[in-house]
Amino acid sequence: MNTFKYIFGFMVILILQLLCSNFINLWPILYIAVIPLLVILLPPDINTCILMLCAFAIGLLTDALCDGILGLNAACCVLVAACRNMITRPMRRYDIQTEEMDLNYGEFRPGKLAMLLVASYLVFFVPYVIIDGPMGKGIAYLAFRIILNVIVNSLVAYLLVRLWIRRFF
Amino acid sequence: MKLPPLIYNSIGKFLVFAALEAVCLILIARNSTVQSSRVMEGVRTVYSFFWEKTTAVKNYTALRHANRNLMEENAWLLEQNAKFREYIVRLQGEDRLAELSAQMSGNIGDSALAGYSFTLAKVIKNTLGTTHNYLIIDKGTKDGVTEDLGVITPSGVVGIIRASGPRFSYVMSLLNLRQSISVKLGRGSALGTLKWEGGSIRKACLTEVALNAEVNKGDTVFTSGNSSFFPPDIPVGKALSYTIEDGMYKRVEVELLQDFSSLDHVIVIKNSDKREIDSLSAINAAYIEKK
Repeated sequence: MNTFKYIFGFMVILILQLLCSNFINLWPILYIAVIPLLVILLPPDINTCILMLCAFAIGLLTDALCDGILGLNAACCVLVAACRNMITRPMRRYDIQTEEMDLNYGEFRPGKLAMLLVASYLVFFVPYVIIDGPMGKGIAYLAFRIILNVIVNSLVAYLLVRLWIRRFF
Repeated sequence: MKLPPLIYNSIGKFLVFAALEAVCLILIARNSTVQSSRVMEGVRTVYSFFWEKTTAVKNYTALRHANRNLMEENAWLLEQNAKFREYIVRLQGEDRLAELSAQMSGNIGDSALAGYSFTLAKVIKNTLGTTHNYLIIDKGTKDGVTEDLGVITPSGVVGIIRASGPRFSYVMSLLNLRQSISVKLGRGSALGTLKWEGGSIRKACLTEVALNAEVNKGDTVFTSGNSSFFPPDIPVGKALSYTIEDGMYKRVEVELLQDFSSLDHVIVIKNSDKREIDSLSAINAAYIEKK
C-alpha cells in the first residue's frame, strides 16, 4: 500500500512539474521546480548511487517533456541527490526499534523542514542559474535570481509538503 | 590489499556522480549554443587548472635536468666571457702599445727606434722592498719574449729580462744591486754606468763619468745605445749632483724618471740585430780566451 502511495505521489509531483514547466510562466527569471522535492522525498535508506541514477532519470524525463535545455534539470537533480545525505544528516533521528538512523519527513517541525528545503533548493538553483543565466549578466543578477528562486520554491515546496504530499510519504 | 568499504563506496559514488554530470553537461552543450560556450568555458577552466598543476609538478621533477643544463650553460658562458675578456685586453694592449710607441717616438725619435720591435706586457709582480728587486711580466716565449731583452716605459728604463717561461718572464729591475746599464749624460758623449745602490727607489748613481765631462744639475741621463738591450736616447733620469771618485771619475747622483711604485704596463724591446751583435761579441770573447 505504501509503495502504491509512493508511486502515486511520485507521479503527481512529476505531472505537477510538467504543468509548471509548460504552462506556468510567472516571470522569466523565476522557475518553479518541484522535482528537487521529489529527489529529497525518495526513500531515506536508498543507496546514494541509486538515488543519483533516479534523480538523473527524473531530471532527464522533465527536460525531455518540457521545452528547456536538455540535461539541465538532470544535472541539478543529480547534484541534489549527491548532497542529500549531507543535507539531511542533522535531521535524522535514531530509531530504537530498527536501531538505525531514521528520517521521517512527515514528523519534521516547520523550522527543520524549511531548512531542509532551502538547503536543497540552494544546491539545485546555484548550478541551474549559472548554466541557464544569459551571457553578460553580473554576479548581482545571478545572486538575485538564485535567492528569488530558492525563496519562492522553498515556500511552494513547504506548502505542498505540509498540505498534501506528507500524506503519501 | 583490501580497501575499507568507506573508501570504495566513496570512490564509487564519486565516479557515478562524475559520469552522470558529464552526460548532463554533454547534453547541455549539444542542445544550446550559449550553454555550450559556458560549459566549454568551465571545462577549459578545469582543464587549465589541472594543466597548470601538472606542469608545476613536471617542472619540479625536471629541476635536476634543468639545473644540469644551467650549469653547462653557465660554464659555456664563463668560457665565452674569458675569451671576450682576453680579446678586450688584447685590443686594449694594442691601443696602449700604439699610444706608448707614439710617446716614445716623440721622446726619442723614429730613427733611433729603427730595428727595434716592441711588445706590451702587463706587470704581474713587482718587488720594491729588497736590494734585489725584480718584476714578473705576462709575456713569455710564446709571445716571442726571450731573455736578455730590455724593458722600458715611456718614462724610462725598467730592467732587463733574465729568464723566460712560456707565458711569463722574469725581469731584473734597475732597482737591483746586480743590475747596471750603459747611459750617457745629456746629448753629449759622456758615458757612464747607471747603478742603483739601495736606499731610495727614485735615486741611482751614474759612475765612471769622465772627469772632463761637464755635469750640471738637471742634465738628463739617456741610454747610450752601446748595448743591444736598449735603443739610444731613452731618458732615464736627471742629474742632481756629482762627486769626484778616486780622482779619476765623476760620480753623479741621478733622480730616476721612472716611478717603480706605479708600474702597470711595460714595453719589451726586441732588437732585431741582437743575435748578430751577440755572435760578434762571442767571437771577441773567444779570441780573448784563445790569447
